[in-house]
Amino acid sequence: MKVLECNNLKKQVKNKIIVQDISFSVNKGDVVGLLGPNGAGKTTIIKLILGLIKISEGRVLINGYNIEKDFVKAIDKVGAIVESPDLYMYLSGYDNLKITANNYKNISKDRILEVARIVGLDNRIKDKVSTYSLGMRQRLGIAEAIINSPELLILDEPTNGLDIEGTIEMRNLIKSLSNQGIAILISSHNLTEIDNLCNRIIAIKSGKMVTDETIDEFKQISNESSYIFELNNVENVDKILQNYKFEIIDKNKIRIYISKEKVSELTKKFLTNNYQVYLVQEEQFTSEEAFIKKVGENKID
Amino acid sequence: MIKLIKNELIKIFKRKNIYILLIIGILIMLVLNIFEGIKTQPVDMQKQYKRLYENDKMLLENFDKLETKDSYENIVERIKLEEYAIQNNIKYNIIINSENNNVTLPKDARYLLIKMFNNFDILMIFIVIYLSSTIISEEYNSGTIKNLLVKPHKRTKILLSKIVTAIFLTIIISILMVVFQYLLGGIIFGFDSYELESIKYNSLTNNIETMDLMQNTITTLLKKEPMYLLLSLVSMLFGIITNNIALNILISLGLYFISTMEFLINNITKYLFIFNWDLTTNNIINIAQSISICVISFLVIFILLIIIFKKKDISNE
Repeated sequence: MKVLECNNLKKQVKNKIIVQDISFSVNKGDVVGLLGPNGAGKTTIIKLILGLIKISEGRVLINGYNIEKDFVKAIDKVGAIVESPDLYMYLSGYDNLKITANNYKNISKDRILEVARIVGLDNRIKDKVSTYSLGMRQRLGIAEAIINSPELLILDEPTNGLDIEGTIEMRNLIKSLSNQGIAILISSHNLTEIDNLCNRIIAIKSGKMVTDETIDEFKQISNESSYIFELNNVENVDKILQNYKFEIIDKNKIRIYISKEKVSELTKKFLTNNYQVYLVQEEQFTSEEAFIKKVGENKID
Repeated sequence: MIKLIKNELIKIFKRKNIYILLIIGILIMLVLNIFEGIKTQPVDMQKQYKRLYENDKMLLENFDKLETKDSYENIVERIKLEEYAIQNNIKYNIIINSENNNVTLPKDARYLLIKMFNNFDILMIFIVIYLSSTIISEEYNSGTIKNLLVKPHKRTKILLSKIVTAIFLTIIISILMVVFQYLLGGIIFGFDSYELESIKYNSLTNNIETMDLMQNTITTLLKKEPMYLLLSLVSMLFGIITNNIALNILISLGLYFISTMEFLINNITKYLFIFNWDLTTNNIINIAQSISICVISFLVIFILLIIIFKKKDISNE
């Protein structure tokens, strides 16, 4: 079931097109990663979805409601952190949550304390936010975003500023939220995070969508599978590999584009021709390698 | 809407700044009242009125020849009041808005209550501008406006809650200032003078008007409120446009000071709302027209506020 649907979104300011032809959807239980270098348009897309900036063309539907025409109904079950958690520094964590809770119906004091406990801030919730570390503020931001039990969660750099423990906790929290059926859209520069959290990646470059794929599809650079063979040497392998597409990586390794079924046959062929086969491994690209190949050589922060 | 207003009040009253501002205001009022109390000495009021009357008659006859800081209108007003005081054997100070700096009359609690709006206008203005600026500008500055705008409320409702809060606080604070002055004046000078009538000269009708002091105080407060409320709205408008609290406060204060410059009033500018929002001054066209200008200006600024707030894109940090 589509929780979020973006159709041909475009944002233009005077003569400058910031984003265009942005179309994607997020279903219940999806964790979708919005990837792209600085200035690609990720935050602009998030702001268009949330109604923080006017849509030049296209539309956004949240649970079937148009964000421009039915804003209140569309945004009711959405929780979001945009750019960074925006907190009242002079108020306590509890007061910040209380103010958020007052925007919805029927959010009790118990729920406020519950979300504080979920994000691990129950011991410090009565302290002023100005005394919180960056990681604690991030967690409070998450608490605010989930207080209304949202069906769609939009998170901009959720692990920003967290230590290793905090990052793991945040990852587990996001996973548990998605297991509850919450649709999650995460904007991030951290490809490892996207790799660990998301089941889909939308890559953005210069305001346009480059790709909208599952993680596995994203990491597959070509349609063919490839295997790395590590041999005692690669001399004259071209004679054995006449009918295969291959690339010599170094003096011991070759990349050969073959299907899984052909691996055993090719290994036998190498052995028959007095090569020693040390290793045969299916090649998997990391998200970073896949990103650079698919999106381009832009520097990723 | 009630919960949104409650949120605004939480945000204002959980900050130190508002309390610092109010304490400074209270201290200024305290110091001024104590100072006036120390200065005041008992005198023969009728004798003083006669001296004043002679002095002012001479000033008026030689107005063109003498260099005086007093305006012609002030001297005329004083003469009328002095004549009334002498004829009616008034034993208290009724020269409030047009004092003669050469001959001073003693002050009392009643006097200071009536004069309060002149003395402490700038204080009230500053509090109003500060409140209205922070209620909008601060949200944009700190980014918390994003939090507000991704909640299930139409932008108009969010803005309305802020406007209602600002207006509500403006009215409450102005009433509290009057109450505080009433108590302070009574403690320092005694409460008996509050039973005396308020006596004023109306330059438009050329008549002396008497009024119950409380009635006069309430009327004066009501006549000041349009200025406070319009300044509040204007501050909020500049707050949304500039996103800068300091600039906003500067512009709003600047508008207030321009409104006090009578030499800028001519046949065209007399219809500007800043020259009509203080209904206690004598330079307004006539009170009904001034009130109409204030109401129309309020509506125009209100509508502008809504349009800009609704259309404004939230830019990247």
